[in-house]
Amino acid sequence: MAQKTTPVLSQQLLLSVAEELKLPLLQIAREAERGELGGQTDVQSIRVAADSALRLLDNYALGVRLALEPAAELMPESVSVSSILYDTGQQLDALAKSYGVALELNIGGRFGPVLAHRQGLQAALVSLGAALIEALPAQDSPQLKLQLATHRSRYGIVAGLYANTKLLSNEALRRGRALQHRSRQPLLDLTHTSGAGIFVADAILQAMRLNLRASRHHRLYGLGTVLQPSKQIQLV
Amino acid sequence: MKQLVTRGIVLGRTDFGEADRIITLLTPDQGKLRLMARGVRRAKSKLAGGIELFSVSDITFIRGRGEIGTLISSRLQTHYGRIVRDITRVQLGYELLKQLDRAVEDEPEPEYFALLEQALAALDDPAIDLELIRLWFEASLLRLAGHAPNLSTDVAGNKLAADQTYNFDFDNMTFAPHTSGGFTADYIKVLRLLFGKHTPAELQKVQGIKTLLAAITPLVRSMLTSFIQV
Amino acid sequence: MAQILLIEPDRRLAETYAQALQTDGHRVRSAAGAQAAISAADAATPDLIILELQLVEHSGIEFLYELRSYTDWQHIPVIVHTQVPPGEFDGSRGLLEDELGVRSYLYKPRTSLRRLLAETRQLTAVTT
Repeated sequence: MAQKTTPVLSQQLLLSVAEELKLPLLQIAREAERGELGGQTDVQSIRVAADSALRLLDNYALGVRLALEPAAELMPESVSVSSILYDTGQQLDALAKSYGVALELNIGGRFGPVLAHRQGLQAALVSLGAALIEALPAQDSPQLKLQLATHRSRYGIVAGLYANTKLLSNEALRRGRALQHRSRQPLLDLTHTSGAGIFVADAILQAMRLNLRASRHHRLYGLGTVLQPSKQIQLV
Repeated sequence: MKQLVTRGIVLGRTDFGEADRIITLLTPDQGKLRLMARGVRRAKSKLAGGIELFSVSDITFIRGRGEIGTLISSRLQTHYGRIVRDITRVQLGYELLKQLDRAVEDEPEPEYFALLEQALAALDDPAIDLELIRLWFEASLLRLAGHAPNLSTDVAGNKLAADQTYNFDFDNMTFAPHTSGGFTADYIKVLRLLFGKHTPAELQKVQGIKTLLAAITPLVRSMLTSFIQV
Repeated sequence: MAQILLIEPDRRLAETYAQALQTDGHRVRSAAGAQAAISAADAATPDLIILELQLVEHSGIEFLYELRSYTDWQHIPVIVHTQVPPGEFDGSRGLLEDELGVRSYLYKPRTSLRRLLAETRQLTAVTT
């Protein structure tokens, strides 16, 4: 099988992931050293950082596997957006607490099931969420609330993550993708890191023929993806 | 003493004494100037804001008896403010300024001023590739110094052929046909683009330029170190 | 005891470094970005600034230019403590040192807490 270079298989993304991994490893190393120097080690923060690193690697690896899978085998299934967002919140809870970011779930409204590759969609949203949790407090006007929400748009059902800050437009996201590996911080106005979490989410979604887009949810700004309603009755 | 007015781009700055600074500027009509900016470090001096790195300023100065004149006033004309937002762009910007400072003599040469202005504009655009800017700059330095390679004919005076491979003859700064030469027509085409009067933004649009430039980079670097003291 | 301004965008790292500096006897103010850092310096003039170059919205270099434009802050020593590898910055060390008053360039992944604390002690012993 001929291997095309997709976003998730690109060297740019791999470099981005490698750069991003320095952060949780640095957090672990320095917190451990602080303990050695006589301070009190925050063991929980070490665990959270380790989980963060594992999650990034795991999501990147999933993205690679999805990209290598023949398109015919990447079957979407009928899934509940609300349950995916709920699980996303659960997975991000510890990280959010460690960064002082409050996670809010806004999944009111009746949405039927959507068609998606569950594991991929979950991984993309978690990856995106982790990146935003780390980026929000680093803004010059720190934002400490992240909302996981879904709403109906004329294109389909949007699942996304939102905050009270004009972080991104579609244009900025496009520029960020183009500047990957050309600029140290391709998403200069959003994150102090390489933006790997967002690009991994982007790549996973693309492997599933979905798109990461800027989105509005009430008065909040954020990133999300559009999903199509499933006509099947069974839910996963 | 007559006050002279011109436009300048800062090449370098050196602290002097307690509050002064010697600023080296490249101008289009006065060549390289070394001017004393008195008191610029002391207060929020009128001079300080008008004489930033990575910008073009309108300056008024007086020629001194020796090498160093005196800066009277300065006003920022164009500030390429996006360069300082990206560390890798700052790095390259600083290197290009130093390269130009070494390459340029004191005589007025407006082409070098224009080159530097174009380089800063390119650096200020985050979409333009840094390696492209660097290589374009180096090729431009060679061209302005009169050391551009011959990209029309080979050592024997024959037109360069599309189906021929070549090696590069540094002594004659021209290509020599060779059955297992390292350079093909594609490389020569991109060299023509590089040594032509295209801006980095125009070069960026050429399909596949990055890969081709990477292949000819060692050649251009060797030309540069051979001919220009950088 | 010195007043340190720690400019670190990552909240977790900022907590770790701030606590270590405090344990070492310093007073620490933290800021995540350039504008917050200027406000913090305004509130309490620091004896030393520890600066990550890779910030959000404005780079550490921009911050340094702004800092040095104020008379009162022209001589505050700065330690650059950054994710940016030194190799990426070799050619511009003159910019950092001569232009912007950076006394030390520390690459975070290879700089232990001990080293950071030692450099801090050294630079604040001179100024306080």
